[in-house]
Amino acid sequence: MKKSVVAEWRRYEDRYRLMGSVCLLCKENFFPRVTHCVRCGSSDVRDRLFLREGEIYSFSKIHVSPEQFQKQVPYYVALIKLDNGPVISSQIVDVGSEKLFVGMRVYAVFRKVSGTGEQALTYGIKFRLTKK
Amino acid sequence: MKIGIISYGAYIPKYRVTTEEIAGVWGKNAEEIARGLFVSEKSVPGLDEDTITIAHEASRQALDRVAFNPRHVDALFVGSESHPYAVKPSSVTVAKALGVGTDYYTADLEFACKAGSAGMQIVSSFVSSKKARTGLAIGADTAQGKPGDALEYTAAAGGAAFLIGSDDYEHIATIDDYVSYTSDTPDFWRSKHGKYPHHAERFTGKPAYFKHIFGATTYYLEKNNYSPSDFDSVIFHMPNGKFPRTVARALGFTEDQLSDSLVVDFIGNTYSGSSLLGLARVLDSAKPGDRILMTSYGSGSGSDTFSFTVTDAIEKMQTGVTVNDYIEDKIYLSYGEYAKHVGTVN
Ligand SMILES: [Zn+2]
Repeated sequence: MKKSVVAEWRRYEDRYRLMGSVCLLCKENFFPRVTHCVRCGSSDVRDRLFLREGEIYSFSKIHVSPEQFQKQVPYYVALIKLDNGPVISSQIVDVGSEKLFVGMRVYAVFRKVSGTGEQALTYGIKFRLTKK
Repeated sequence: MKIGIISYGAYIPKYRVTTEEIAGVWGKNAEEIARGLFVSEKSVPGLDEDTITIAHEASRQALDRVAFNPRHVDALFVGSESHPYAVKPSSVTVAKALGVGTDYYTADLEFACKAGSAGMQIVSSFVSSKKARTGLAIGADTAQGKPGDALEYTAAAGGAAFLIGSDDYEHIATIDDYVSYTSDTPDFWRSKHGKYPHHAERFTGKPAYFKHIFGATTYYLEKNNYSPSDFDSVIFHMPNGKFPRTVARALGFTEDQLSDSLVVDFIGNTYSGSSLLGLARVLDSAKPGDRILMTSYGSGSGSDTFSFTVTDAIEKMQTGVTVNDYIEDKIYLSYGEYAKHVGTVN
C-alpha cells in the first residue's frame, strides 16, 4: 500500500503525540482529531493531548497480517482505554512470555510504523506493557 | 553561571542475543570470546526500533522524570553512527514527537562512539553562552557488526539523554568542566554506502582507544588540578568490557570506581549511547556530593572528558525506571531471529 508523504505529515501531531480532540459541548473525546463532534454535531471542538497511559480493553494476536507487517507476526493488536481519553486501537510491542489480559496496564511508546529501502519512514505511537 | 544536568533518561531495547548463540553459528569458542571481551550477551533493537525511537524514549524519560515542559527545550542534538536516514535529520522527528515546538537549535551529530558526548559539549556551550537555557543531548545507536566479524559479538542498541540547563533550573549534578583530545586516526570507518564498518584490527587499541582516552583524561586532570582519587565514580567508553578496565587501571583508577559504569558486561557496546548509559547507571545510585569523571571515545579519533558533582537533588530523581531495570527486562533471540531484527535476513 503506497501512502503519500504529505498525507502522513498532516497527521504527525496525532500520530506522534496522541493528540486528539475534545468536544467542549458534550465532553466526548476523539482520536484521531476531528473537526466536529461525531456524537452531538457541535463544531466547538478543541485539541487535547491525551495521557500516555491506559489499559487493555480487548486484544488479539495476529498471525496473518497485511504484507507490510509480515516480518512482525505473530504480534498483538489491542483496543486500549486511555486514562483520560477514548478507546483507541494500537499494536502492543515487546511482548515476551507475559500473558496479556483485559485491564492490563500499558504505556505509549514511539516506534517505526512503516518504510523500507528508499521509502520515507513513518513513525507513530504503539503501546508496551507497564512494568511497575 | 553554573551549568548542570537537570535530568536524564536511558533506554535499552528488550531483545538479547548471547555470545554463545553467535559463536555457535560461526564455529567459534564462545567461552573464549566471552572471556576476552567480558561480554556474554548484547542488546538488539526491536523490529520497529531505530536510533530515532531509542533517542525519543530516553529523552521522554528525562523530561517526564522532572515533569519538564518540552516547549522549554531550547536545543536538541542527537549523536549516532546509525541515523536512519543518510540525509534527513533524526533530531527533528525526536523533537516533534516530544512536542518541543519550533524554536530550538538542532542538528544530527556523527563521531563514531563519541557523538553523544559531543552533543553534551555543544548543549553545555549553548547554555554557557546564554543562547539556550536548556537542551537535550542524546546518544543513541543501533550498531551493526558484519556477520562473522568480531564486532558482531558487541555491536548493540541503546541510548541515553541528558537534559542540561542553566542555574535557573535545579541541577542533579553540576558540570564542572569539559575538554577534548582529537587526532586523525584511521582505526574504524564505514564508507558512505557501506552497511558495515571496517576496522584496523589491533590498531583499534593502543594508538586509538588508549591513546585518546589517556590523553583526554590526563589533560583534564592536569588542567583542573584533580587526581584520580578525587572521584567516586569513573566512566570510560566501553567497546568491550576489557578496554575500560585496562585504561582505568593505567590511569590509576580502581575497579571500585569503575564498576557501576560497566553496562557493557550486560548489553555490549551501544556506541554513541555507551559512555552516556554508563553515566546514567552511575547517577542511578549516586549520592549527594559524589564526584564523577567520564571520558568517551569515538574512532577517527577523539575523546571528550567531563566531570560532574552530584547535588542533593539527586535523591528526588532516584524513583523512576533505572538502567538496571532495562538490563534485567529481556527476551532472548535465536541467531535466526536476531538476523531478522538487524536486517541481515528479510
Ligand atoms: Zn459533542
